[in-house]
Amino acid sequence: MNLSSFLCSSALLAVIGLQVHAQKPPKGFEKIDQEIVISTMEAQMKYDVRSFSVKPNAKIKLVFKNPDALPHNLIICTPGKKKGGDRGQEVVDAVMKLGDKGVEQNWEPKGHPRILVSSGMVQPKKETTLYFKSPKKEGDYPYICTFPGHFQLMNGVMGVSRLANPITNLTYKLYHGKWNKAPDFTKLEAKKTGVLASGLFDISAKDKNDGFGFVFSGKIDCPKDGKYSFTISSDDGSLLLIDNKIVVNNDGIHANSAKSGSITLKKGQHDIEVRYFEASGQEGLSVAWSGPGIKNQALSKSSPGGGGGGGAIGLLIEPPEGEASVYRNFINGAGPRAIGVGYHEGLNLAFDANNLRLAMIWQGDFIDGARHWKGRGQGYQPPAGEAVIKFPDGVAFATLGSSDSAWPQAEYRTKDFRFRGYVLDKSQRPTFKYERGGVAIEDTPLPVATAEGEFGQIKRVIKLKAKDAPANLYFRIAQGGFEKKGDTFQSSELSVTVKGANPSVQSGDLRVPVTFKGGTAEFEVTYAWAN
Amino acid sequence: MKNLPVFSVALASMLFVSVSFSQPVESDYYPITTIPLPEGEVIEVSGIDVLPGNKVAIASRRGDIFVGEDVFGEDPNPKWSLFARGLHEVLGIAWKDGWLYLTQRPEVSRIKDSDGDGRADVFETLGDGWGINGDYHEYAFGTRHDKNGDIWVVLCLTGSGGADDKSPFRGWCMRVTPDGKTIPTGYGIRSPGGIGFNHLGDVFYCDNQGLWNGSSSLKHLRPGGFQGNPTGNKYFALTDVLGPKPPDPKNGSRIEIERSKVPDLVPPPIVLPHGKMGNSPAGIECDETGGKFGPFANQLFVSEQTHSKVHRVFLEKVNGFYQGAAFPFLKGFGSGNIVARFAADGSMFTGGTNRGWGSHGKNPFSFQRVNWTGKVPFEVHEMRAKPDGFELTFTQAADPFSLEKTSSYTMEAYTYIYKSGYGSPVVDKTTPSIKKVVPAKDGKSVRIHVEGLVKGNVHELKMPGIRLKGSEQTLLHDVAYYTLNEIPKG
Repeated sequence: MNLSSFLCSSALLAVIGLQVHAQKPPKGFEKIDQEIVISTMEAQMKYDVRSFSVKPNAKIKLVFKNPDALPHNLIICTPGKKKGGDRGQEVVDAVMKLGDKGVEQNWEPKGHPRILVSSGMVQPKKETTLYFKSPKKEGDYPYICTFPGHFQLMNGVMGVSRLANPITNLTYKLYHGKWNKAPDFTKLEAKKTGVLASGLFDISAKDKNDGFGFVFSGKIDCPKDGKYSFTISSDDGSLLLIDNKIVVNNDGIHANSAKSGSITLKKGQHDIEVRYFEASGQEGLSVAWSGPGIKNQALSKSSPGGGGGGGAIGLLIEPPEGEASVYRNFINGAGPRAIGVGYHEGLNLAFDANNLRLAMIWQGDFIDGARHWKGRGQGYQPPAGEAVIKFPDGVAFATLGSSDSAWPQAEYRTKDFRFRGYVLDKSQRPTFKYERGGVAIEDTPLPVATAEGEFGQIKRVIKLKAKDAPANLYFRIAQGGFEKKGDTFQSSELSVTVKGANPSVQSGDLRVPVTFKGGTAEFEVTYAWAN
Repeated sequence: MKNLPVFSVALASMLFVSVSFSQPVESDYYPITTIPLPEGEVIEVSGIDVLPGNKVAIASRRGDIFVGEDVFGEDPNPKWSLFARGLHEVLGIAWKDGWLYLTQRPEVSRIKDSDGDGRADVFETLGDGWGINGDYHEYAFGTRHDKNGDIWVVLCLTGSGGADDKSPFRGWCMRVTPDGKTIPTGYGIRSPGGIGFNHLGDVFYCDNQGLWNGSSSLKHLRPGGFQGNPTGNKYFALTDVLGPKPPDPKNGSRIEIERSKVPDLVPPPIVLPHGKMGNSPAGIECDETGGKFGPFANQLFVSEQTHSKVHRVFLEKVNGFYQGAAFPFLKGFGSGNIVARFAADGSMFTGGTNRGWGSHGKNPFSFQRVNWTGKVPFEVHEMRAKPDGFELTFTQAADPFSLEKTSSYTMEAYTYIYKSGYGSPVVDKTTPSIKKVVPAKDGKSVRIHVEGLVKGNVHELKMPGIRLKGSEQTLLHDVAYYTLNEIPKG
């Protein structure tokens, strides 16, 4: 589409464009978690906010202002399937396919599966307010103006991250070189540049392990007038600047160590810049700030407060494309003999090999290895992701006097309970093997593929074998407040369906009696997150 | 003393002629080759074994296993492949019959690539009969298989000196049998750094300076033996395999005194004087290469973490107890050594890390190889206790005149307090006098007659005056530390 035809069609649209969104908060949004204001830039074909970040499942108010002379919209799309995401290309393609109908549909392919939130077309000098709940799944959600020809320049990324922070428009420039202290990066040519939609300082865009540097710049939003302090921990050197003034100088070659500095700032947006370099050996960068109402909030994926042999963060374990990752270690909620499994589909679980039970499931990021991989590795590491569902402590299989007998308190690691290991399939996904009394159990949890943008589920196939099958063996799925609705059992956080056995709620547990036939038994449990 | 400026050599030679002689250095005999690791991986090498087909497997503290080909040769450029990931701090691996056996923090397991794609897919838990509870100190170091097929595991205490009720058998040695039983085998351990066999299959481990350990030492894991730290003795309540709980040793005493009251207390065969020999001894590896690594067949090589070294240990049995001498062997490794493994060709692979505890070698991790050049270093070969002194043998004939002078030697004896607190100063220092020195005619050995031997104490022997026959060459290492728990009867 050339310029003249696009000007022509935009003029046409200006007449029929509609503002359809309510300006008063809908029910449930009287109190919101986060407010974002995005404005178009006059005669520049750009949004003034190229990136912002929100926490998962948060109530968001988004004010979209259009001071430009052309109509624009803002459509937030679900993340692209391509590694590294895209800019909502499939939505743009669908706009093109609208053809003649494009104008009457306001250049919006309504109902497209990748559309998460749409502002509708906003006329020049108008604005609209959107209220929505951010997705539960962490990731980069591109937003675009779908008016033909606009999207190439008019785009941005909404980062959904549990570490959402006050930094927007964060970009990085990557440099190569050998330095003893941070050089004048402005005299060097960047090897790579990019946007950090999460708004978090992050050196994972590095393309080598030694001899590189970053300059990050963005805007930080100070909620009030006051004194703000910044802490930056790095290996090797780093500097932090606010409005071009050095606030923290942590320069030079050194092991990971933290320095702090403070500055008095007015309410509103300020320039923030971090310069960082790595000479050789281990590398790391973490940043945090404190100020009025803010207590040591991390501005990076890792937190500088985490040193000292325990609690370090910043080594997120990410399952490779098409594979699962296994992490055996001390996992908070799954015990000292925990086996964490992160599936590349964004679902995770931890198995407790002390109690021979599925200990928890969660979504998003798998787990941070830094606690155990930096320093000596003290303590238990919790999951990195969100929507963590914990299953009851103690053993998962028990023999009971009757179906409603109290569940045994602690039986674990008696000689009758043996963890036997696991086998991995071609995608590195484990089937756990364990024994309880004379019963051998094979336990295969697998993520269930769901449609784009929907929550996943975990399906677990449990096979049992016994020479002398116990008559009164029970399996405890979960605890607390389950109601039967059709074939599913629902609690406030979980929706469970079982195939091949008859679960019931007994003494506050969701239990399955295990019925053997010819020495074997098999059933299937599907765990879905309740919305 | 290499490359002294000419003027100072000239000056020095007027005063002390031998200074101008260029003494050989360790690397003339045992050069260290650094083996490249796969790029982008952090492999803090914590276990090494040699696989069929000239491959090596290395395990890491992060829990990965990599298999490397082409690790031999002068300028190795190995092909690495990932065998397994996500294991729990593997501190001991052993290849046997197509399986790789692992000692992980929570268990001894074995893993296998059953479909031939190069990655392990079967992970079997063999034995896990001990507790862990989230403390980094709860390390588990394991051996290869002994002659019964058992793997021996030493379990560090919970914390520097604790024994958590939820972590049974901390401070114990356990054996995991091929059929998956975990058998309590010994106790009294504090903080092991590694474990290994001698050529007879007897098991030794290194324990680090700390509570009830005045200095780091190499200890003999005699079944049923008490290694000196009573913290884990509370777990006698959980087993009767080793009989009743022994009495606790007296705080602030000496091992030599307490062993007469606590019969199962095994005196450490080798005390590695803290600060002098190193600060943190780790893995133990016996030279069973039949001479391919030089003249030290059947001696033990001990990795040292803090000083990034390998020590050499000669052991003998006196009055039924192992004891002997430690010698410096090789320094200058890339990181903190924690494990070593010989290959059949006489290569010694070493691996290390400096995470959590610093090391002289500044690399965060390293995988290296030591080879013998074929040149025999001038060293004390063996040091044996005699009723009234010691006998030394040498790897090469020494100059008889230098051997027979008592002034060629100095000796000090000392020990450490046996106490519940951390470490100990050097105490009970004496200077036994060297009364008479009788060299063998061939210069290959010498008998040192000493007055004032102290039973139970380290005897530090320095031999700065000994020269190679027909040369100004000194011993490559002119110090030995003999732990004299037992004095042989006449």
